[in-house]
Amino acid sequence: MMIATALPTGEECPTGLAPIRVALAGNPNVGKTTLFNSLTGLHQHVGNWPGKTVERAEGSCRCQDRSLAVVDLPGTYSLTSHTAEEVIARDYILRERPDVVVVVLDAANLERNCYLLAQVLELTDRVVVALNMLDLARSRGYDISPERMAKALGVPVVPLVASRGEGREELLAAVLGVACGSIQTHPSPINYLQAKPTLRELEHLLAGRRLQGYPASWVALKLLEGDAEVSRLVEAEVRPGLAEQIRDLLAQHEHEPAVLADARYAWIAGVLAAAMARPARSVVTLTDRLDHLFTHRYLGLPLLFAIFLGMFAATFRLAAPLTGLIDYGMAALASWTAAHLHWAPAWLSGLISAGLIPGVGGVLAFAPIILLFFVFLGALEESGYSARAAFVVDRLMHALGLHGKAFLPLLLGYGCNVPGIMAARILENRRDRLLCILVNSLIPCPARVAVAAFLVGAFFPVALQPVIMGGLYLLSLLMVLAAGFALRKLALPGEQSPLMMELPLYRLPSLRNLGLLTWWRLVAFLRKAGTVIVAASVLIWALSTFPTGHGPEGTWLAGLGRVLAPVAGLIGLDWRMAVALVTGFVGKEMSLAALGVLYHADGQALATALQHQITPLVALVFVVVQLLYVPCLATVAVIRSETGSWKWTAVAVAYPLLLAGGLGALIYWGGRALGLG
Amino acid sequence: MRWGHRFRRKEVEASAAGTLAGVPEGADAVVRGVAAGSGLVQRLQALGLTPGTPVRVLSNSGARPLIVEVRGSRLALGLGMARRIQVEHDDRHGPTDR
Repeated sequence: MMIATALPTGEECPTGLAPIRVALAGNPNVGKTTLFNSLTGLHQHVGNWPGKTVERAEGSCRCQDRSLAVVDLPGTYSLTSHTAEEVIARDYILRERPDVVVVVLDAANLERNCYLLAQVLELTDRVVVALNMLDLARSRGYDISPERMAKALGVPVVPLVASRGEGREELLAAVLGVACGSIQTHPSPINYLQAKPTLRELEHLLAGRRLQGYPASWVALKLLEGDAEVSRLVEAEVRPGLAEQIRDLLAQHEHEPAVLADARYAWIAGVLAAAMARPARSVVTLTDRLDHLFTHRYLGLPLLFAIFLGMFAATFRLAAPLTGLIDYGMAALASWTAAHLHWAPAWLSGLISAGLIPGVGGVLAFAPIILLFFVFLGALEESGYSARAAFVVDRLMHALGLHGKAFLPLLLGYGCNVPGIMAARILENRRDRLLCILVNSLIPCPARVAVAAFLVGAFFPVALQPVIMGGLYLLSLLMVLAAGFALRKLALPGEQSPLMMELPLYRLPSLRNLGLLTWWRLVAFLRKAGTVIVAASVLIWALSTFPTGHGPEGTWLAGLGRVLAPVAGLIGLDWRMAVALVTGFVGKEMSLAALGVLYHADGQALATALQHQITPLVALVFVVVQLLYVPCLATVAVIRSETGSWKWTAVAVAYPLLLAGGLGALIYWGGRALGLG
Repeated sequence: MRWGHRFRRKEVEASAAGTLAGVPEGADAVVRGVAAGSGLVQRLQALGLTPGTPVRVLSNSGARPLIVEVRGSRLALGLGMARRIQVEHDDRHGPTDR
């Protein structure tokens, strides 16, 4: 393989020192994560950046007896401060000062990709370019010479096919060379033309200031660009007189920010002129043909629904046996423990076999569905289809004050609110993300629907059942729209952010990427939600067990039910149903189990018992309330970790509760007024 | 308000003239400017849309976001966004590829 600059001999680097710190930067969808996985293999850890809901992947690898610590920076198009990802990437490069920054470029989309490279070179000159997907670029008719590109850029350029691991060793050698100084980089400077005098003047004004460790030349660039964060920093760090001087200077040159972008693209054009030959005519590619289909004016939407219907069907079809197996295993384990703990006091054996084990089982039962959703979601994301889905549904999402990208998180909510809320990360700004998370609380997951289906089956004639179930879905959809409207007016004002996204080339998802991504997301979920769910299961067990000796009616849980009874009574529910709603908070399907215990019946017998105790109207009230009232505990745990705010978590719990109560009252008293029940 | 719909449509078309939203499918145009705050302008810059950039409109139904080709990459832009991007477009030639 060719390497664009001289290879280091390896002896120049002393061994046994601190690991070389390498950061991977690049646009989204350029194969950065594939490269990261190919470099680090299983020696990696995925968590969050401190205080941010942006994934942070770190790993290590060895090359020529040196160990390298690799950080995968979030994929960004630029290094401004408009998204959390951009701030993380630039702060890491500026503050943590990695030994080498590897900028991964998509060779098939070089011009736009180089914009980020230009901005990275404004921060540091210790850069190695990884030129990925050169094969794809060739198939589109681009002829790119890595050697000439390296010469034009002044930094090493290593061609890669990350998906096949090709070029890995050459890249590591170049990284090592730059880190140890055996390869000297001399990045070709960007000519800022008319903006130059202003930049020089700003630099002069800033010279000698502390600026929190940021270089003055970069701060000057960002000031001229009108970067909000850097402007705040400067206001805080320099004396007021100087700040005023800087403001005046910027006001005189307010047309220059555009010059900077032009200067970068002019620099890019220069580099590409030396390194790349474009095809005379554009080649019709697979992406063109697939896009013609998937973004088709009439076929786009039906195809989208077919794809997602298939995804849901496959998820539940594949998850059902796994969930069944886990349930069966946990039940067997519980009865085995109960049988073998006869020597222990009743409370201890109960705690383990009726509290702890079902709690752990409850968490594990989530795993197959969430795992499969993550796999499908990752595949849609990697293949490039999810951007097309966002395009196709963009207009429908305007009804909610969101754009097309919010579709996926909301749709996933119909499978399980947990991955739905976690998927809201793809939205760029906080308002959209919060709105998407908050309305997700109202989307009925299959567990809520299962409870509804049981009661509807017990109380209404067969012919009416599909109508009622359909009506319930429609009702929840209306509530989502109404909540979206109300939240926008009351809590989350702000303009709808416009849709602006890349439609990446289609490609086959890599199984290795999918596997690793899914694994880390699942671990994150189990760690966050797991402990909460187990603790709550034990609590519910204790409430429903003690004090012993008075039957289910004598427990604390029943006592709680009686306390809630006057409130529940306002919408026609008795204390048992109040208890069922409380237990349903832990896991929606548990409300049926609670009703079973309280009515001393199970399955069909429970249906009969309920028919004798409550009217269809009350049953309908219960169904509607439990469909909407609160997100389950796992969902609340995820809302807390994704919003990072107890206030918004409280809102996400409180407003559906009020909404459900209000609707319940409306149905109950409306029904009574109409002479039903 | 029987004519409301038709009226609104006309209004939209008027506001689309001279902007990317008014460029028919298959036609080429050159970006002249962006009427938006510096945040949006910078995001567009990073995606390759700067004054002087040639763009080709791959899809524009007037009701959905546009798909445009810019500097070799493909972007979806909401209609609201497309109406803020001023372009120069020679509509005498009309759509080229359809």
